[in-house]
Amino acid sequence: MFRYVIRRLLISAVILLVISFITFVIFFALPSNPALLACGKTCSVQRLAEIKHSLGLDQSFWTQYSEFLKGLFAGRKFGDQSVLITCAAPCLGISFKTDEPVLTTLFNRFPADLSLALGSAVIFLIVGVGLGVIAAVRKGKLIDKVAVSGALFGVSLQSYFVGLLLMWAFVDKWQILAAPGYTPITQDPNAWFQGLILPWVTLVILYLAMYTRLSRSSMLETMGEDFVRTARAKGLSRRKVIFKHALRAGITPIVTIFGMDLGSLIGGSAVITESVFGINGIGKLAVDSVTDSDLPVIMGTTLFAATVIVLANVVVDIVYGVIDPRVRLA
Amino acid sequence: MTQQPQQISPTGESGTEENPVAETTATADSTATEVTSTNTAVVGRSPARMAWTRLKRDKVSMVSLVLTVIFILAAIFAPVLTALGGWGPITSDVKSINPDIGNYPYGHFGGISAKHWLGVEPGTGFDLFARIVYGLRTSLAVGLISALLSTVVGVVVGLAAGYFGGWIDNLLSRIMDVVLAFPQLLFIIALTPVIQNAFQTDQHGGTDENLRLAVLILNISAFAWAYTARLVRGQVLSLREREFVDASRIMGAGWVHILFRQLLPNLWAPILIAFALAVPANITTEAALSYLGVGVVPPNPDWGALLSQASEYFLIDPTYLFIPGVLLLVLVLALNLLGDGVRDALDPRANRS
Amino acid sequence: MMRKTRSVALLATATALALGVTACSSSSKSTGSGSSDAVQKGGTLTYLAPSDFDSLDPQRVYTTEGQNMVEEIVRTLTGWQEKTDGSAPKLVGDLATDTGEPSQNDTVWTFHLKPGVKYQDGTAVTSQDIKYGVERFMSPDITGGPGYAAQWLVGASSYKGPFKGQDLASIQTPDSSTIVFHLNQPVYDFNETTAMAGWAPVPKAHDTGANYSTGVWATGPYMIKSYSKGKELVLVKNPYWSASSDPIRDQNVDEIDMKQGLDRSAIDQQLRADGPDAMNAVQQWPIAGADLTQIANDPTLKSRYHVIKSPGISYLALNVNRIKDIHVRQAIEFALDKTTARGAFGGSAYGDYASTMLAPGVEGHKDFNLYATSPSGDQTKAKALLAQAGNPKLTLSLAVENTPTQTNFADAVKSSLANVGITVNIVPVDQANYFSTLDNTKNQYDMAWMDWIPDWPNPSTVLPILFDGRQIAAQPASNQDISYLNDPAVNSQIDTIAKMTDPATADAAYGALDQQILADASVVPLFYMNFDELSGGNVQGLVPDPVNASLNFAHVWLKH
Repeated sequence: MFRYVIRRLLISAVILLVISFITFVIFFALPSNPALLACGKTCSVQRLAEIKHSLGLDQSFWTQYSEFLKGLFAGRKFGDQSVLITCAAPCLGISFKTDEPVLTTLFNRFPADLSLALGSAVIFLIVGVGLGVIAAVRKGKLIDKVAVSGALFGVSLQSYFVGLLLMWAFVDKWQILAAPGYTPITQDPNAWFQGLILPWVTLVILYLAMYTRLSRSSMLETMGEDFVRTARAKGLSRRKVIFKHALRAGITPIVTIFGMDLGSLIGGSAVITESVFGINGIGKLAVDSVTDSDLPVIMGTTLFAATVIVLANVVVDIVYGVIDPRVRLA
Repeated sequence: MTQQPQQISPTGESGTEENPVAETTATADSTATEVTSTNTAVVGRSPARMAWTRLKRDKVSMVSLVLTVIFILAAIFAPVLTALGGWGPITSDVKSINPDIGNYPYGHFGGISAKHWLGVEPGTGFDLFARIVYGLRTSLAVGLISALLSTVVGVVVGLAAGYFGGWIDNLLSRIMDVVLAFPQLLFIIALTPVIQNAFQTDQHGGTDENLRLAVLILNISAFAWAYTARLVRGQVLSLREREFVDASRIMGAGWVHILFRQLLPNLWAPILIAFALAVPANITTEAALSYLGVGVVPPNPDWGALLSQASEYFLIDPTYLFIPGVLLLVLVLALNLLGDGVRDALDPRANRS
Repeated sequence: MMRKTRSVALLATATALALGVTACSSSSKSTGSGSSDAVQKGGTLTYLAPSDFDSLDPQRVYTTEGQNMVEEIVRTLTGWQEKTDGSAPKLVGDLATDTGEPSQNDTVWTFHLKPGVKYQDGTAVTSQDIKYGVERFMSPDITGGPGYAAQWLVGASSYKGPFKGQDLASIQTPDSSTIVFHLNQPVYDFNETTAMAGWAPVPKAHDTGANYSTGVWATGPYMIKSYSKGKELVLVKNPYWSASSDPIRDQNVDEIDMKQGLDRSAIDQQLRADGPDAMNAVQQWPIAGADLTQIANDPTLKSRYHVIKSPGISYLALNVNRIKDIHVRQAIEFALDKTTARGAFGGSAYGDYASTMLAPGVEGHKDFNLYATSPSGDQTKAKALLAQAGNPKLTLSLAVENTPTQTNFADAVKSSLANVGITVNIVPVDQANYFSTLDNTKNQYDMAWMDWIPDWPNPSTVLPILFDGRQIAAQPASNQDISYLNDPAVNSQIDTIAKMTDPATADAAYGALDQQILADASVVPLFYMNFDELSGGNVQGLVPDPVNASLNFAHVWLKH
């Protein structure tokens, strides 16, 4: 088990290294010139060269990449002249736009993603699995049909369409809810909750479907398996069989998928939901940094998201091994 | 949607059973010998026929199929349809919009009238019906071509990884891991201008709209193939130990023969399903990218771009948001239901809906 | 030399989604200040913003909204005195006793500092600190910001900032209350330049270089209490600010709390509803497009709805190198339907139809119209001009930003030119890189959308910048002459005016130059740009500020 975890972590590290390299290559090829953007309107050739130097963009690809890697472990110092910005390890660089260490920016944005992800994930997991189980138990009945067709409907919806529709209806037309947005929970829990209702609902509509569907099929499968039949034959009540035996076995595949979804949501994959509702999360940061050609931030957000996804993968595998007795980790 | 993580179980395969797409494994196996032996002369009912019969009995699938066909025909005959409507996709009806209040259409419901069946686009005064049928072309083309591309690449990589095993499998599987670990949407956003710039002939800052289509297709496929590859690899791993494969191997068949003659024909069901479900997924991705402003470039009309534009006007002119939004929902839903139906038809055991 | 305009271009684009209004241009001056209430002290002004400023560092800030905020924190040599009575802004000495003394044909400018002006820690402001601040402009670590210092100060082009101990000899500080600038050319409106945020003192001991924006050392009525970039900025009263020496600002509210990263539409709706959170609030960016019609047409919002007339201009540059025949260019002037073009930007709320390059708010503005009298154009005249040109078969490229608004605008241009038989090929250019792309002489198109907001309302920050053709060769990567007009007559007239020392004569000469340029049909002036903002019900004393194209906070107070 321990060796397995170590091995998985090592592999993950290599994957992240590869991703960082590819991301770096792409930045290098980006058509826009961040030095020119930083230089402003009347940019003399000489000042442009100086700014390029100050941003470290005049160095070769390999120097820049190795500086970046070094910064991850040892930290870096920025600035060409006597005034330096220190960026402590693990240093993801300094934003060209704000001169702030990228990691600080990420940490600033992270609570928004966490709130968005956790809030919606709790709802779609519980409601989704609940509906799935009911549908499986009542297979063929109306509730089953509604759950199954509703599921595909949700998968086919576009998050921006749902989001805009909800805004139009609840905020503008009926004025039931305040305009959505993110307020830190520490600052005002009520505003935090109110501002996130619509984004949560949007994500739940999109994800709920899949969970209903998956838990339904998984339950149906386990309910057909020998051990469930045995339990039933032993004379256990139907309720007990469903909740004690079938659900436990049936939920394992859901756990894996849930872990991955949660990982990617936390990593900022709800870009569109964030931009529709104006939530300043990591996804929106990433989109903005591409428009601003803020290379260190693009790099930081990509790596951050990849790290969360890769780690979620590892955690999921380990959890899977723990809850499913059939799986041995080696 | 997410995929199964890799090294879940000791054998590496049992984990894929939860993958909705992989549920056809058993059918593919059981019908395997039949398919290969009845390739040409069909005696009795071929599995494909049986599947078709089952599909025909499923009302939802048939409705979806009809809808899909209508959408495809509308896309193909877009010029004919717009000729009927009387407005091309880039002819502005200046008289239908009010320049004093932001070029909003006159009249109710986004300016729906006998002249403009679905109303007028605010801002430009273009006929929305024409924009929609031409936009459908873009969406369908991007969805289909990228699904085709990703399926082909995925199948080839999956076959290679599953069949050869060893370091080839290791290498290819790691590549799949990397691709699947990428924050896709974020990455495509960053990647699009890079690739565009690399191939663009006009190096003066303009964006070539047709090249952008190619770049989009490339980018979407670049991330979608890994799902198919992983699926196919899993299937191959279980198939290659089967008797009929052993038999051909003993009879001295080369790997090309075994891969493409023995294994591939047994994989058509999962591949078809993967393809069928990739089309709506890719259409969704494309629309999302266009919504975020890194997708299709004007003057090419596109549904995602339409919705992106509509999001600026929807408080005053919600019709402009509803029409393409609902149509996109119907298209993707029909394609999803159809893919679902195809899976059920190919795998009666699963009996999903 | 001014990027402000271009950064403002972002604003303009944003407003652009604007849905305009039919009758809105009237309400601008009916601000709450018009009420006879006495000014009340105290309270917290909330400032709602979609994003952070470009910088708060005085030498780096170069957006209108950024400059507007920095002006509350730092005082500059000169400044614009803006009153709530609706009179035009007036240039006055701020840190300096007066608006400066020019000598030697406007190439040497001397300023004397008022005594007793202090920083937030009580130490006195010296002329050496201003010299140090201006020197920071030239450091490559201090990116962004306007280029005037580097362009005009003797020896500045080879100077790399004060961080390594060197100083710039052309700024002299004979004593701690006198500062003298030696310029390499006559600049009659130099004292208007010194009203920009960068001509403020920076104490060397508190300079944190590239990080200075979070720790700007205040001389104005407010100082930074906390600043988390992209999230929140809190300003509190600066105890050492003295009202008696400041002719520009008041210190009425206790605190300014700026919340960043909000959704633009959410801000509009919050202000519209005027709930407890919004009553004390103002907005940083103009009302978003989708909300504008709604807000502008609501009579109950009238007292809180402000139209800011900026001296900015939105125009179409016609490349004279590529469209060589003047008859064709004139035909375009006549053929263009400005009504649908403006509709694409949001309609009448976006601004008034323009016929000159100098907007009405700019000194020296001369009212003339050489082309179509109707904003929807004159196609008959256009066709006649094309016939004079021999009815050429024309396909012209048009560069615009790749945003819905701009491509809609391009479609409008395309439709109206199609009416006279000119085909337009729209070239969408990535928005973030639009100006850096178009400013590069490698990238030339037949026509290009452009806009310009002068750094101060003087024609010297418009015409020489946009039409001096010598820059095409001199600064090929940051050329502002997108028409590629390089007319010796225009160039020499620019030089002649630059040597003038009487501002009134110079202004009048610029007005005539504007007409001379328009006669050549190298640009189609489109609209004089407006900005529309909403404020909370308790906010009083706001001044629509044409200089910064924002709501000025100098006299703001809260009813409570």
